[in-house]
Amino acid sequence: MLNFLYFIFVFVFAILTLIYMAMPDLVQNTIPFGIRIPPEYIHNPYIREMKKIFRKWVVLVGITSIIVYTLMSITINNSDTIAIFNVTLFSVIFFFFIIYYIIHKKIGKRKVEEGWYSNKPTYTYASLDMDRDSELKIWVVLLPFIIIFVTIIIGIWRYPSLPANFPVHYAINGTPNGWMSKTPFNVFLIVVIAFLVNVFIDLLMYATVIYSKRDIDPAHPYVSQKQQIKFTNIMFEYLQIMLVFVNVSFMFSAFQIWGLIGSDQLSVVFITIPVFIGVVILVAATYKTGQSGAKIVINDTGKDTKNGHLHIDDDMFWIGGFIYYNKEDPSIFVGKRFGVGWTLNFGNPKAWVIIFLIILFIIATTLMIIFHRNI
Amino acid sequence: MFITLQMNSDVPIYMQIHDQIVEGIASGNIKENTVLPSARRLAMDIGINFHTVNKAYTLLKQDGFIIIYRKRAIVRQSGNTSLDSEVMKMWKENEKKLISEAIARGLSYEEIMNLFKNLLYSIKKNKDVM
Repeated sequence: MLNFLYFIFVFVFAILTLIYMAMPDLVQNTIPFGIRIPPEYIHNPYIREMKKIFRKWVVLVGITSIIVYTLMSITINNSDTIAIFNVTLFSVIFFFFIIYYIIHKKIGKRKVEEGWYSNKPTYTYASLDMDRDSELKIWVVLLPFIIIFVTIIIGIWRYPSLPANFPVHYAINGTPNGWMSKTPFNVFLIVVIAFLVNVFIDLLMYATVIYSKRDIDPAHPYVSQKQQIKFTNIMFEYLQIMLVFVNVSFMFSAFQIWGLIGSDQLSVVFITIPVFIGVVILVAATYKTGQSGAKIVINDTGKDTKNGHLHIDDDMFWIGGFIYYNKEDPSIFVGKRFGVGWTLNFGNPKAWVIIFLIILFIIATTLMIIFHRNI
Repeated sequence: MFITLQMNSDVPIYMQIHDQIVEGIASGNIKENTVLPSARRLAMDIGINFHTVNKAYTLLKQDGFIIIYRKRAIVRQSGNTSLDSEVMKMWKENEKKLISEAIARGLSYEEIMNLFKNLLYSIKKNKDVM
């Protein structure tokens, strides 16, 4: 059956396809498809051809996924909507990766065969004044917490009129399938979870700012430094905007539990739409900044001298062009090779601690929800 | 200001970092009382072991160019080095070697003096090109 969730999910596939199609133009032009190339090869016809092939296949996979998902949604039982979505989503991401990987290997092979990088002296640049240059607006962190605060106030006002047992979870058709007894902790559990999610994401983002590598491009050191600072700040701010929307979704979930809004299809819309808008805004922001701020225009006011210095060839640290593994590098976070944002340095044991903490957080919050249902 | 390193050079990385910071101080790009990035920060940006940067900072401290205060590397005030100090004696020894080499290669007094002037000029001129 084609319900509201169906359209949301189709939109997810469309967005995913669009952002993946745009990806070759969002990353730095000296790292097409995860291969480091000298600036004089940016406009190489082979790379242009590969970009075309990449887009063609991504569109093909995207359209196929929507058709397959639609057919499955029509023929298979309504209650499996989310399961079908997950399977389709996983397949789409898998196929996108395969397309990327093949083209990544092809360009890498061409680079070695034609010796794009051979026998050229390479340089590593580092800034001595970057720390003080960051203009992070820390107060923005407070914005999402205002929504949580408002939710708590409404919860306190609502508390006396709640029944001794209240529904906390609903099936997709709107009938309650999870109940809780009325205690302050049970009533405010959803707010507690919202709070923990916010704190966790903020800590993760802050760790990313502190422990990430700032990779300076020797071809234009001043511009690439400024782009990265701006990129980090914009990502930080838009993440907070996204959290505002996530918290609005949490607020509507709380309203449903507290009996302030109904449990019909319309409330599903209320709960889903804000998260969705938040994610779309964040994606739109990455579209404007590009990876590491590659699309941000910086006026260098003649500060970048054209000395023709070449960035070090760091392909050997990128397993399959997407996993960064460098034991010598103390960075925990590094800019993604093909994508917008950061990934981990898997050669650093501290990165594994971060992964462990993320998994622990997801398990802990899930257990909190499961153990407090059906009591 | 940026430092420029060559990973496959014969000059060790810590020495390159050391030399570039000294050059920065000489050209005026690094001013007195500037707080240099932490060894960890610089090591992450370059992608090398944290101890390598620490080695450069320790050497800079020994040479009297920086002081370490509360784990921060701060550029010292210049203009208080006496010509008879141990550091300057070492410097004179090195300079003597280099000048002797130039003479032995057949350079005249004028040529050596011009070379010195040009180098001095280029170090000062380097200010704020980046």
